[in-house]
Amino acid sequence: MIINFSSAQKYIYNFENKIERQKLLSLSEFLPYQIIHDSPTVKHYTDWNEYDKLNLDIYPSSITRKELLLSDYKQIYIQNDSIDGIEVFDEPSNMLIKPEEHKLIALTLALSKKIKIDVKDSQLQKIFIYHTVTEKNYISPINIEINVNEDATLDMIYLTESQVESSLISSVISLNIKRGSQTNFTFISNTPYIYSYIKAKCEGELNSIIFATKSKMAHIEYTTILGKEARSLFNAKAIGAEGNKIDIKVSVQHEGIKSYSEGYLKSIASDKALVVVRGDASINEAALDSSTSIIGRAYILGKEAKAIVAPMLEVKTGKVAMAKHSASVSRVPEDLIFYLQNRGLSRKEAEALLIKSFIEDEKDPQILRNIIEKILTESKIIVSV
Amino acid sequence: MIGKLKMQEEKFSIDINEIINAAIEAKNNSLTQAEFHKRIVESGLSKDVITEISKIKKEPEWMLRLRLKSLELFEKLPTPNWLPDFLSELDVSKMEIYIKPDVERASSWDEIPPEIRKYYEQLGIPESEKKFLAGLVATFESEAIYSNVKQELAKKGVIMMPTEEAIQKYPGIIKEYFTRIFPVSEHKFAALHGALWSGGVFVYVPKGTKIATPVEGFFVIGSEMEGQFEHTLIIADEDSYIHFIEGCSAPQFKRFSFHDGMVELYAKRNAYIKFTTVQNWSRNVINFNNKRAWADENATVEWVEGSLGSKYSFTYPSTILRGRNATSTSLVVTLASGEGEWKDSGSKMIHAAPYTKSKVISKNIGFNGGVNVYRGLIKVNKGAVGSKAFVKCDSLMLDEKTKAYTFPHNQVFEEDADVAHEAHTFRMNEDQLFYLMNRGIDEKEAISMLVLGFIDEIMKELPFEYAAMLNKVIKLELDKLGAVA
Repeated sequence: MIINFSSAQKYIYNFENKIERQKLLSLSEFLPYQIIHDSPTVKHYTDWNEYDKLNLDIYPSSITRKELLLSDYKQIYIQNDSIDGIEVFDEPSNMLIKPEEHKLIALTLALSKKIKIDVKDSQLQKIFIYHTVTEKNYISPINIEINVNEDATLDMIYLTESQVESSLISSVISLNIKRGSQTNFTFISNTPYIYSYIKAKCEGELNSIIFATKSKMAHIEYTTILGKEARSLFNAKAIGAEGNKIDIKVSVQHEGIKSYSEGYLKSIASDKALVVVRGDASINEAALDSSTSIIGRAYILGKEAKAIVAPMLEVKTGKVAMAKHSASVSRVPEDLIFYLQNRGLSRKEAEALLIKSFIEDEKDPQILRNIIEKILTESKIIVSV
Repeated sequence: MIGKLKMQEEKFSIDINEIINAAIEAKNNSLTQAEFHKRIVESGLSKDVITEISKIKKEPEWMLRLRLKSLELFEKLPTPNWLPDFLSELDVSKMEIYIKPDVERASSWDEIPPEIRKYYEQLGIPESEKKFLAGLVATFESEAIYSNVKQELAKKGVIMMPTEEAIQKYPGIIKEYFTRIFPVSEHKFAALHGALWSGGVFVYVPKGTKIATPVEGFFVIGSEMEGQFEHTLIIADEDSYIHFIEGCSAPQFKRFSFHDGMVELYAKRNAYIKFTTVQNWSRNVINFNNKRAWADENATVEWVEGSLGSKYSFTYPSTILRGRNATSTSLVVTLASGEGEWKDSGSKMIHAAPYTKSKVISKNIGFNGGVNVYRGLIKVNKGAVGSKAFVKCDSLMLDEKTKAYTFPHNQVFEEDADVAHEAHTFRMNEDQLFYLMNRGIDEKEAISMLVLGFIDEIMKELPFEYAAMLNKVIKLELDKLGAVA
């Protein structure tokens, strides 16, 4: 079992709305991780057993350390089950995400506290959420609702970081982005076990970066629903080293006319890692003249590494501006290495340069760049020269 | 009458509608295995019926066991979730297994739907061929031409005969390969095929034998090729070559509307198999086709598939590249040209050996509310070093009501491999249309030029007369299309 049931039940007694939370807990018990046989070809991309064998506890805990990472951002600090820096609500529901959508959503909603972020000003708001778990064998759940009102601008970074090998961070995040507003959303996972479900309803402009690394098992699902003339640019990337298993699924649903989406899926699999990056774009009947493009690239480094890219397209109207995707899996391209070697770089240098330029993007916030740099060096994907 | 053995007429009747409905209910979890079993028995499909069929066909013991095992698997295996619920809406005919195959033919022109008869006239198909295509006669009247082909094949030592006959004559080889390439345990409808298969063709091409001209199975073997559950097995021995054509591009009337066939190909070292299917059946058909090939060292398997007719079609030609340097390509055209038409296609390429290469090109054309689905898999196993795969799937949509889905999966478990995938969904290019119309070509003509241009890559792979026929068929289909906005 993923959760120690009696520990969860006991924990629920700390909340107001016990009955509803109880219901969610039993719903979570009842729901399967995944319905199998849902495709004639491929079965599981997330190894749900990894979660199921955790047998996690949950109990009240307090914040022990607090470090300020980004000084120019409003900081929200989440450690285990405690939250600092914002008002906390006792509501086991989420505005866009229903508990029925997944077993672990129901579980997260049953056990989590909720925070709400409401951005009204047209002045840029910068928010940084740091989520960590320090207890062993512990589930640290959070429920986040973000409202970006008309003409508002938000720059938000959600970072999960933890060293505890046996604990799970689970988050349910919804973003409601109104017309005329702009949001930059960065999600960074750097933790052994994570389950995260993010849903954005977008009528304005949404630029997002989803990044995961260093996970024994990471399942991150990011769904964007685009309204009329909404725009979504996204970058989903992952670096897997050692025995990491990472599954990122990005799905974009075009519902309004002239909506636009463009995304990149990039991954690096080294050592024994399994890295899966899936993208699913669907243009619904009413989303006339919409446009979508998803480009997936994966680099495999190492004999035991595995990479999967699956960009899907569902076009339900013939009146599309453009709908395309592409994907490739390869080693670091030999011809590029050759080109750089010809210009005097050693093979190692050339590889390092190519890998870095592949996974890093201009738009990445500095904090993400630092993490990427650290991972690449630590896991010896690039050797500093 | 259902479920009753009517020996005097030498036929069994199985209610396929009931089987499909039960399978769909089982998918939605409202049927237990015992209930499902009961429903299947009620539909007329039971151990006794299978045993009886096998007995009448004088099959060896192992084949009976295989059929019974398949039936058991059919009941046990879960219904695949990709099976759309709407299948139960189409009223498919009861399956009738006749022992005298002649009885199953449509008996007169009156039974042939007028639109098909009209097609034949517009396509200018000769009278003799028309009757054959419409299923009015068992063998093609220009028998002489094809008997020459038969002689030629026999002279080269090629074995080509109905699969049932081959079981009697070459039991060893059939036993070795039958359902080995495509195991019936794979999914529910493969298992159903295993239980009920009949008809189809067995081809064996001996070592070093190259058959220069394409072999048209349909004309050579006749109606055996066109059963409901036909099983085709082609074995190309080392260094041999064969191009086999199944079906034909002219529209065909099918009296039986549920089709669940299987094709197994085995290309041994250095052998080359090209397997072309052009399917243009009448719109009352549900078509499942289970196609899989093995390619040994240096062997090549080419699939060319045109899925034009039928209402719902599910076909995924796949190749397992088992030998070093093996190659496989798959070219698929699907056409969904009517409300509710559903064409599910795609290819699977499994790279299981070093330096294997595969290429998949899929072209979907949709209009009048048709739905095209591409579902593919490229898998590079560990150890398949130096493998290369390329997938391109394009959908052309000619109106707003049309839908196109693309579900590709690329799974790479080997560092030293290159897999690339591209997909594009677009509507008719208005600039190009405008350009052509400006040059005095009327709209319909311009559209068909552009559509044919879109599938040019696949047209090139077809023998001339097939391409010419396909050309005409697509033009006729496009006539159904209203003016493009």
